[in-house]
Amino acid sequence: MPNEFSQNEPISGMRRNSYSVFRFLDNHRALLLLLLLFVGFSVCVPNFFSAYNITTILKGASLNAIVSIGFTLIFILGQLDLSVGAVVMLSGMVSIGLQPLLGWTISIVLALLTGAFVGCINGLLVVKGKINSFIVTLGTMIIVTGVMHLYSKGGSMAVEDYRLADWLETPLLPLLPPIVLLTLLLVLGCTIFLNRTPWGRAFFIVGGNPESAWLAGLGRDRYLMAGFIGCGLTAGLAGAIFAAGLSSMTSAAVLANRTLMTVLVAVIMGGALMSGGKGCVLKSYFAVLLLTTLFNGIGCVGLGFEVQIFINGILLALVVLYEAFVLYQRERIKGQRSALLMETIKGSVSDRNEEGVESMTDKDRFVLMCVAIVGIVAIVAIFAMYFIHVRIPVRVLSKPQEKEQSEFTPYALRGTDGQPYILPQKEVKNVPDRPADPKALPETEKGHWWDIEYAGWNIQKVAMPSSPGDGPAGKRIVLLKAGDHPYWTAYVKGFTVMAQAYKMETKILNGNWNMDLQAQQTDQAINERPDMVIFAPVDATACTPLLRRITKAGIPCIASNTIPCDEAMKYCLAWTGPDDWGQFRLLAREFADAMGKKGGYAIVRHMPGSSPFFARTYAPITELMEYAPKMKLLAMDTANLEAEGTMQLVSAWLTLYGDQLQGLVLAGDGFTMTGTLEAIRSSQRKDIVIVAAGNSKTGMDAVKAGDALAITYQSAEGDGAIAVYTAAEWFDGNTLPLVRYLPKQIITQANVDQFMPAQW
Amino acid sequence: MIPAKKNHSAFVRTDLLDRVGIYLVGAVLVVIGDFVSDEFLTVTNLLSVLNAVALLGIVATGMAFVTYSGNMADLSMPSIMAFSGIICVSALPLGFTVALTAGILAGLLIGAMNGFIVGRFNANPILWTLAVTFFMEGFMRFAWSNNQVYPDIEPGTAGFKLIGLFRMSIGSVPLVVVVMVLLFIAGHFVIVHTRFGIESKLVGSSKPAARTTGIDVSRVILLDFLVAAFCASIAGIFLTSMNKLGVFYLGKGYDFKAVTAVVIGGMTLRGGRGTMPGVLGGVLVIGLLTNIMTFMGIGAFEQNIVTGGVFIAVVGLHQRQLCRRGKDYA
Repeated sequence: MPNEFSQNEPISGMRRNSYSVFRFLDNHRALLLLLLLFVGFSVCVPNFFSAYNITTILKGASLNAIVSIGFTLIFILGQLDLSVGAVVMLSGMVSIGLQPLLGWTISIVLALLTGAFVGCINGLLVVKGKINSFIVTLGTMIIVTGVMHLYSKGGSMAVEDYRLADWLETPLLPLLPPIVLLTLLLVLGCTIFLNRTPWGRAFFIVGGNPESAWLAGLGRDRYLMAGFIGCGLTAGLAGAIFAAGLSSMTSAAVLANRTLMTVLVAVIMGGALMSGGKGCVLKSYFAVLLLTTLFNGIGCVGLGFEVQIFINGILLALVVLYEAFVLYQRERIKGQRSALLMETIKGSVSDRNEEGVESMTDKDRFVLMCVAIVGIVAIVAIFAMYFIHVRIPVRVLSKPQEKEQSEFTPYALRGTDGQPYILPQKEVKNVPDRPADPKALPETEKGHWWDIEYAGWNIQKVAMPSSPGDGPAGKRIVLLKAGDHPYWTAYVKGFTVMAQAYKMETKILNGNWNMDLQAQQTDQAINERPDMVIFAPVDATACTPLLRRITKAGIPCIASNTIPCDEAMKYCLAWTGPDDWGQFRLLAREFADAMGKKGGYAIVRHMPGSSPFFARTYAPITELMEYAPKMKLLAMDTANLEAEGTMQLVSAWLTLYGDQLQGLVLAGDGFTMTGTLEAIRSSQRKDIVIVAAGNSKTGMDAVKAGDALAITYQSAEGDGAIAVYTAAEWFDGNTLPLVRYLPKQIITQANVDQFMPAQW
Repeated sequence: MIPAKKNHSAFVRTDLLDRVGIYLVGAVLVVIGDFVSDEFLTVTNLLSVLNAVALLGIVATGMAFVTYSGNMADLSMPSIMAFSGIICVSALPLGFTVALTAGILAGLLIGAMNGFIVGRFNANPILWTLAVTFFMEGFMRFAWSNNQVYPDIEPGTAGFKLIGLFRMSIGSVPLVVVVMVLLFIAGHFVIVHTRFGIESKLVGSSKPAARTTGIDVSRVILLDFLVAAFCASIAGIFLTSMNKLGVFYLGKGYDFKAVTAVVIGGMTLRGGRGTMPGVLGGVLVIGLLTNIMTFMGIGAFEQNIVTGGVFIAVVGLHQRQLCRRGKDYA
């Protein structure tokens, strides 16, 4: 496309002199926006401007920044690589999986080779297969995700060696830990390579103007191959460094998706064009920093994820519109042969007149740019106003400040379903002895899962901060929640109600199911120096270093909801949440009784990368092995909790197994339940027993209508409340139990009414 | 992006293999399926395959128009699905018909915005629709405070009718399958026999050429995005009806799934080439593939690998064929 402008070259050369301000603004838009945001947040938002927070932002940007190097290269070549996110996860998984065998050096090198290999395949298919890179990389993205899940068996991986992780995090120079230094060096190195060396410049020619590249004797194929391999290599490196920094890798595919989207947005904001020939690694880096700062700052203000993603969208839209507008203007003056015109004009008409015509378009662009900047300023101003006017009156809520505190009993609080949030804890779970080597036992035996099921029961905690012992009133707690889901909306409700009852101040950060984001938010929470952090992990295994980081900073921490792995339990005061394994053992017995302890059943599993993926599959399998050995497991698989996928899966099972299949265990009672019921309705089977994890409105409706036999009762509001309750107990100076479960109950048609209306 | 090889065989009529290629793949799959299980070639099973891909089919019909007119993909389709669904549920107190209309209008609104900006200002369609996805997600999270909205399910109410929509069937064929087939037929008719369809083809093949012929390019692109939004909102309402709730993340993943179906069906991403029956074939092949692999007991992870492989292989073969006939890159 750039060749179309060659005829305008003299003018644009002249323009460069007269409108340098505008050019400057356009060229450095990422950096300028970044500075603007940074200054704005520093002025308006407390806790934002601190050395720790700046390091947090720089550290948090490193994964996306390294990926964006290769991605910019691909953009310069006019191609697209959708597989980067998946490659990040696969190579991270490889480096963690091989580390115990081979050590860090070799495993990271192998991770890099994995990335390069995928890049090589992408390149070959684009160059030799002559397939559009969008299609090729869409395909490899799906394949690589599958390979990653196969390799990790749908779970996460971790190593218990934190030396490398600690080294990567400790600042070598002020503000700059090695992970940031490495990123900076890579970014600068690649910028210099691309912008200053002949080989680097050749990428721009190949991408921007293939014909002149051909005429110049540059082999397009070779550069494309180099580009794809380079992109795979940087994605692999980013994955390996990310995994090393956390000593673990999650297998929840959200990370891949979010990385791809963030990097794509950043590269566009950094000025790269999808049609190729334009882009700068350094500017992409500034844009990544811009996005990280945006998320960090909005989190500091205390606004929700919806605002972050909204502003992210608006920013991208503005940039896309601006690019389109520039292109539109160029198209308009395309055929005008202004160079020729100018030559004839030179003598007779003064330059000013000619410039006047040209400057109109430039003025338009300048106005647009101003509008964009005003928009950003407005957004920052809105935050400031929000902070000043909205945040302070919140305290008015706790009006009756009298002697209520002594009378208040947490057991009296009830959720929207009329159930009490918490019950006075009486039952003590009897924990069986740990088998000598759990992993040596087959998966169908209870002992195999001991480390996950009874995580934290016999663990030696590291030194914990001691309780101030002055009660919960006025304490500040930060909740790091895993992500957004109606369950979590109810959770936050219970959490807030309970915290208000105890007169605690709360702040909530939303990890959006993304391990990378939660790692950044952990640092952000530490920066706030709260009295307590309540941590709901995105990933049960990969959260270990994060909990460790919080405890090392001297902040007490309670884990909530997802049960972390045994190792992670060392680094928190306690864990509260639903007893997923226990619930499903209860449910399995109910299920077996209804089936007469015989017949075949199948399991629709949870999402890979989540802890229920194992709990809600192997709790029923192991329980039924003991309780009803005649029952036969016919099939199990995941449909990612989607209704259509579940429908397809269950329909196929119903056709394949026919009357053999008599029962279904579902890992969720929402979309999974809907899909299953649809499949059963169209097969016209009436005899299938269904049990599921609960309890959403969909599931309760199904139980009430008699479509499903039973679901578990898991109070979302109670889940949030019990964490706050436990925190309050600690502030009072009480010793905490290691593990505190929510009350276990099974909902059947007989008692479903007492749990209505549903919490979510 | 890539210089097109100018060759006069571009005028050679698309041969038969190009048209039926994807159906050959489908036929191979049917033979394999029959070999794998006796239960495969039964009316029940084939209907369940159809039922499972019906929503994908509806979305793919819309996506095909965007791809055909050279705009690669509309990534905002999941947002449109979620938005029309959530609006439809929210408007239920006003009556069933009003709610349906409101849902579809809400989807069309986003489509109109996309079409206007991509068509008039020549914005990059992928990036623009990606931005729309972001701010629509933010907006829906904010407006409905991250919650699911449930329709009434008491018999006789508008909500009950909405929920019944997905569960309705004509004879033994589910309504959603009928709608999918009707949309495909309508789409085929529009593309082959109407002025708008032919203009879309020209716009997809070469925008400058279309402009010089006097076609109002921005109007054609606007209409293409409107068709896409219309299909997405219908799919969104069906999806809402199926799940009995509206929520901001409904429809996630349909963007790439639909592109996969459209491309595997022989439509090229550069626009202007491909047929509606091909896209239908692509949708069916995806459904059959998943069904057969589940029958064979292949897990979801391996299914991913096979699906990705088949996708690349089919598109690659199609591409080779195009190259051999001297046509450009797919």
